[in-house]
Amino acid sequence: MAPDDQISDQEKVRIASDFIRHAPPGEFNEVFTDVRVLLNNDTLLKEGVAGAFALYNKDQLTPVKLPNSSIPSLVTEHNDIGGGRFFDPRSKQSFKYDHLRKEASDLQAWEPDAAVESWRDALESQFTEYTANHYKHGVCAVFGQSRNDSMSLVACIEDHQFQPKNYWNGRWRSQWCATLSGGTGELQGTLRVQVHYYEDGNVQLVCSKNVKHSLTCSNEVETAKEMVRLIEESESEYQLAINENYQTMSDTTFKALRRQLPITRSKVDWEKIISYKIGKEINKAQ
Amino acid sequence: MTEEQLNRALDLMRRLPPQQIEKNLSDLIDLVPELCEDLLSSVDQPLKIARDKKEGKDYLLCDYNRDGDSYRSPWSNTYEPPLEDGTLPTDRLRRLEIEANAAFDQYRQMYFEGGVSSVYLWDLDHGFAGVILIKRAGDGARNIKGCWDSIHVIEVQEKSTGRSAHYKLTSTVMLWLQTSRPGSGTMNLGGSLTRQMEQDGTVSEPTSHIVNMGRLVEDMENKIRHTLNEIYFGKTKDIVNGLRSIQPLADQKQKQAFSEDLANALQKRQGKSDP
Repeated sequence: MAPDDQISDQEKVRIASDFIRHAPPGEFNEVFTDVRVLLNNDTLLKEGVAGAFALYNKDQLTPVKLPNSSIPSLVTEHNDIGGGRFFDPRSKQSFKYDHLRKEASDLQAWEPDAAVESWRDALESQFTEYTANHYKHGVCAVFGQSRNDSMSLVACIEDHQFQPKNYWNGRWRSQWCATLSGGTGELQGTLRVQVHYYEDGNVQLVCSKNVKHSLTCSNEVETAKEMVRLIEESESEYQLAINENYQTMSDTTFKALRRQLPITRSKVDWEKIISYKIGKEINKAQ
Repeated sequence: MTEEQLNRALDLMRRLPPQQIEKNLSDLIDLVPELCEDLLSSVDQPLKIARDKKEGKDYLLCDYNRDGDSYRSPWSNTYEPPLEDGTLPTDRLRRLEIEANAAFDQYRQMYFEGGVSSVYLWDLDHGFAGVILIKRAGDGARNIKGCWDSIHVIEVQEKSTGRSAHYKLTSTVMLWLQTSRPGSGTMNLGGSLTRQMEQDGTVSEPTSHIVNMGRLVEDMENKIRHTLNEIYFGKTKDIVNGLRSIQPLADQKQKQAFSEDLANALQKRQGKSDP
C-alpha cells in the first residue's frame, strides 16, 4: 500500500492491542514502550489500548503483593469486580489495581459468598499446600461462586522465572474450574507454559493443554483433597509428557532435518564439488 | 524519529512469538507504512517455495530476489509474474550464480537429504553479495511437524590484487517444531538464532569464491545446529522444569537436609581422626 494510505485509528488500536496482549511473560514494559513509540499517539494509546493492559494482566494470572499481607494474590478474570478493582479471597479484601505499575492500593473489606465459603476455604488450604510443594515461587488463589443449585470453584496457580540479564523469561499458568451440583461435579483444567529465549535470536515455547475429570463430592475437605489429588496427577503427567516430547523432538525430528555431518562422516569437499560441475559443463559444450 | 521507530519495530519482532512472524510483520507495516521497505529487508521470515514451471524446479522466495511483487527464479533467471525490466545480475555474476546454485544444491543434499535451496547474487562496488537459502520440512513422523529455514547473507569484498577477498557472513537459522497430542496438548517450539562470522580467502579463479563461501557457510551451519540443539532441547526444557517440580519440594528439602547432615557428620569424624 502507498505510504499515503493510512489505516483507520480503529485498526491501529486493534494492532497495538494485539501486540500488547502477546507480550512474552516479563516483557510487558518493553513491548509497551515499543508500541507507544510506533503508535506515536498517546491519546489513542490511553483511550483505545488501555483495555489491553488489563486483559493482558488477567490472562497472565499476574501475582500482586498486598501492602498488609505476606501472601500475594493473583489478578485474574475471576476476581475482577469492575472499576479497576479486584478481590483477594484469602485476606477478605478488595483492592484497586494499577495495570501499568502493577501495584495494589486502596484496600477495603470484602464480603465472601457465604453459601460457598466453607468449600472455597477448604480447597484453598489443600491447594496452597499443593502449590508450595511443586512451585518454588508459585502463587495461588481460589475463588468461589454459588448459583441456585450449583457451586463453582476456580483455583489458579502462577509461577515464573524472569532473567532478562540472561535473555530469558518463563511462566507456568494453571487454571482449574470445578462445578459442583448435588453429589457430583466436573473438574476442568487449562495448563499453559510459555518460555522466551532471546540472546541473539527469538526462540519461544508455547504450550497448552485442557484436562477434564469427573468428581464425587461428599464434604468440603474430602472433595478438596480429591480435587488436589487429580490436579497433582494431571499436572505431573503433563510435565512428563512435555519432557517426553522434548526427547522425541531432539532424537527424531531435529536429527531428520539436518545431519551433523554428511554420510561420508567428513565435511564437504568443496573443490571436488566445483570441479565436478565444471566437468559437466565441459562435457555439455562438446 | 524513523530510525528510533525502526529500532523499536525490530525490538518488538524479537519479543513477539515467532510463530506469528508473518502476521506480526504485516500488522507492523500497516501500523508504520514508512518503515515498509526497511522492515521487509531486515526481518527474516520463514521461506516460501515457488515453482519454476519452465525448468520444473522449486525455488525459494526472499526480499533479495523480489522486485515489486515479482520473484526471480535462480534456475531460469526470469521473474514470476513477468517483469519488463526487473533487476538482474550482470552476466559475469549470473555465471557465478549458476555455479553457486549447483554447488549448494549438492551441499543441501549431503546435509539435509531433501529440501530446497536457492542462491541469489548481486553486485557491490568492490565485490558482490549474496544470499544462500535452504528450506527443509520434516515428514511429520511421530506426529511432530518440523521445519528448518537457513538464511545466509554474505558480503564479498574483493581485494584490489584480485587474489584474495574478505567474506562477511550473517546467518539466521529458523527451527520450527510443533505437535498436538493427547498427553501433552499443543506444544509449539519455534524461532531463530542469528550469528556472524568473517574470514579472508584466497581467490585463484572465480569459482574460488564458491569454495570460500561454501566452507564458511558449512562451518557456520554446523555451529548453529549445535547451538540450536542446546538452546531448544536443553535450555528451554530446563526453564520449564525450573517452573514446576514433579518431585514434591518438601521431599527435596528433606533429601538436602539429610545430605547436609551426612556431610557435617563426615567432616566431624575426619576432624577427630586427624592428628
